[in-house]
Amino acid sequence: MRDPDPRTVQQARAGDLRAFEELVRLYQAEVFRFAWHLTRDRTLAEDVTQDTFLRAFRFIHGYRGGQRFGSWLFAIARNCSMDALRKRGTVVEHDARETRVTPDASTRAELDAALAAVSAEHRDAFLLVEVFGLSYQEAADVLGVAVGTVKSRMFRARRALCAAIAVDDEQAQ
Amino acid sequence: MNCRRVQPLMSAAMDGAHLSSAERGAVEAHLATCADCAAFERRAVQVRAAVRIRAAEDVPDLTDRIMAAVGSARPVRPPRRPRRPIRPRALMPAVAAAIAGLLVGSLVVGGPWHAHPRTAWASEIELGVRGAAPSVEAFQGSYTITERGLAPDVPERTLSMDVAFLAPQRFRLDVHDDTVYPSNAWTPTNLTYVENMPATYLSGPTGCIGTLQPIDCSSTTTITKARYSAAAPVPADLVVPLATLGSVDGVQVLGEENVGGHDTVRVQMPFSRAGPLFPFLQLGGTWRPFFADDVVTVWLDTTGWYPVRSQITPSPDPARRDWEMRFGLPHESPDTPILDVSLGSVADTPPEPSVFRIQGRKVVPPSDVGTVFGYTPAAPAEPAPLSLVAAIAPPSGPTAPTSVLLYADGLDYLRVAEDPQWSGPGPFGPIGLDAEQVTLPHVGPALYEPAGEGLGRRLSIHTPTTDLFVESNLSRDELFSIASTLDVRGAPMPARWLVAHAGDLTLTRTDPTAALRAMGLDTTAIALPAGYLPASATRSIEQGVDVGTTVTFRQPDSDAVGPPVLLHMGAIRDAAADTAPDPQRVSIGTTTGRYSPSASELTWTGSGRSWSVQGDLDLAQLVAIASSVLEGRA
Repeated sequence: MRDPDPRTVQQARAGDLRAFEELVRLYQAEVFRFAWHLTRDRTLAEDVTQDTFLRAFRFIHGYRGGQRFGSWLFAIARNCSMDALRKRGTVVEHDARETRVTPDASTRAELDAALAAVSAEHRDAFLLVEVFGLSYQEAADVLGVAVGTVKSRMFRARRALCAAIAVDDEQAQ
Repeated sequence: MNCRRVQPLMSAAMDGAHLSSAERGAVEAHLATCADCAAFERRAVQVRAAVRIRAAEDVPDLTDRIMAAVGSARPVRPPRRPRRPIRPRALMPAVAAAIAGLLVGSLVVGGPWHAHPRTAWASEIELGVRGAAPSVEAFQGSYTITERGLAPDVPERTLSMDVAFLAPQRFRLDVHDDTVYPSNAWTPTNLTYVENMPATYLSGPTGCIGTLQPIDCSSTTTITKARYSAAAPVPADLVVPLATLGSVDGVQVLGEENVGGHDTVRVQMPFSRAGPLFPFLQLGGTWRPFFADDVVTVWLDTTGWYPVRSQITPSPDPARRDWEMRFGLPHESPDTPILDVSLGSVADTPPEPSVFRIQGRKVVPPSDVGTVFGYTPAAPAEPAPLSLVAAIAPPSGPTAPTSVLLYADGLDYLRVAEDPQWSGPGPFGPIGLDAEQVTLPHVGPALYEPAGEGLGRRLSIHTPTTDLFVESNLSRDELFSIASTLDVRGAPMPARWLVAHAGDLTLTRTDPTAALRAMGLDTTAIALPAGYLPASATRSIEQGVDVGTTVTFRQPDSDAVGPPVLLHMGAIRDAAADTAPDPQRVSIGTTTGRYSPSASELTWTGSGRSWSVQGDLDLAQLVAIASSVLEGRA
């Protein structure tokens, strides 16, 4: 995850819309991908991305600079995704079409199915660390939990996914 | 080192965590001989490759759409209180009532939030309330309390209330009863509560009755002077409702309104969840009763996040009729508020420190700590973002600590109480038998108990030389992370502290994982709702006979919210002794169980034992747990 120029954040805090737009351009792809992973719905992920930046703008004074700007934004995106899912009143369904776009489709489909089966808490930690490359500390900031909690959730998610591949291996034999 | 220890270390190392050379050596040695762990490593690498090396997702450019939405919004000012002019109190309730009356049920259209869906408010309230708590330095509020239905000859009472807060940790609440009573047989409810760091002072009505004149019944007398109270500051939720709205589970957001010049968001919750918003009800005096499901509506200022108005209306639930009869109340209409607390004026000007003065304890300057206490109290090396605000010598007493260090940041606090000569019958501090045994990094074993019963989250740490009690309104993780920087090495609690006696019954705290194993179960095999983990276990022994084991499961990350799930295995119970008023027969696979909705408990028998699972869960979840227990043992 990239870090913004601190001056850009300062200017955005002062209400400078151009500076905020710069932050939108810098982070929207990551926020969208994260929202897509959490909601598994393109339209919803677009709405969540918009809502995340809207909320970030309104609460930009709440960003205290002690953590990375991206971690703070991810925390908001996660809340917005939960709100959106709650509002829609559905659990995340595994959307097969979205997962068949990669060359190694069968492994990906297995992994996505396994990932959909682990608890949301474990999945969130896994996404942040393994997919988005956050450090344990940054993931802990996003999730509002201790580093040790991220470590154990990460391990449990990883164990579940390894087990899914293992089943696959055995079936192939 | 075995697989259970090696695999988490391998996982952490893959993510860049540092392993000590001893850990690295042990992992490598184990890997050389263990096919399972080698397979785990290989698959973990495969998983990484599969999720990281992938076709780029088609990411839309939403810049224009986002900026169009942002253009019609405005940043919320930092959660620091605006200096508002003090409004004339007499005018306020009428004005507020008129405005609230006009706007009830409607959204303010065209306001700054018009592009902002109502559902998004839930997490904004959390963000706002949590963000405001550490930044509040001072608060003064004046309120009018209107109460209806105390007694047939006192249909309505009016009281005024003043609340003052000064960081760090100084609170004062005064209630003055302005009611004209029909006779002097009534004692006015005049209350004063002062909390000044870890000492509290409470005064309430005199016991004077009409015939015992000439005692001046309007004056107050000290009825309690707590030596040391670990309870959360009583009026804190009137300043920022952190206890009530720091988590919005069970809270319904109704919409936005302007109340008496405040932009507010209106939320609703049951009375049972809203206690901290009405702190005066716990402080003595005379108050009418409230039903657990009575409806509490709160108008929350969206700039300062303090309640502008809180109202209780009777629940429409038919079950309330029985309750009304029990209290000799007439039937009360859900349309008429029975308690209304309205903010008249609010200011962020600091109150005079002298209003918080309490006699009888001593604040020690940091330079004198060693001399006054005779030892250097254990202090967290990294209390940030909190900082040390006072070292206190409480008045001595059998259950009082000898020193208390108070750390605070706005409304957030953490206290470390210490007694190097602790010789009580159990762990130091208010810690129950079902406390969770935890291991703090660097410090070692400790007992943890979640927030509840007016206390914050708490830890008791026993060491060979001293005993510590740490209590805080921070989250579990924040509390653990600060407590981990204490320069002490915890020791296991003495065996006699793990036992409690009640008549012939002896309760012994045991390790929950070992208890489950003894029940023939593995934690991972039990179908618990997400986030629940074994926290503690107790064994019951009656007249030398083991009569059962109870394992408590909690959600570590939301322990203030989710009640525990209890799994009990014991001797077969006499069916006639089962007093549940509403049992229903339920199938658990091929076994028949009994379900009591009122107790939210499912019981069954199997393998010559009686089993039960209880928790704030629905029947399907209880049955899922029961089935997994039956299968897990099969």
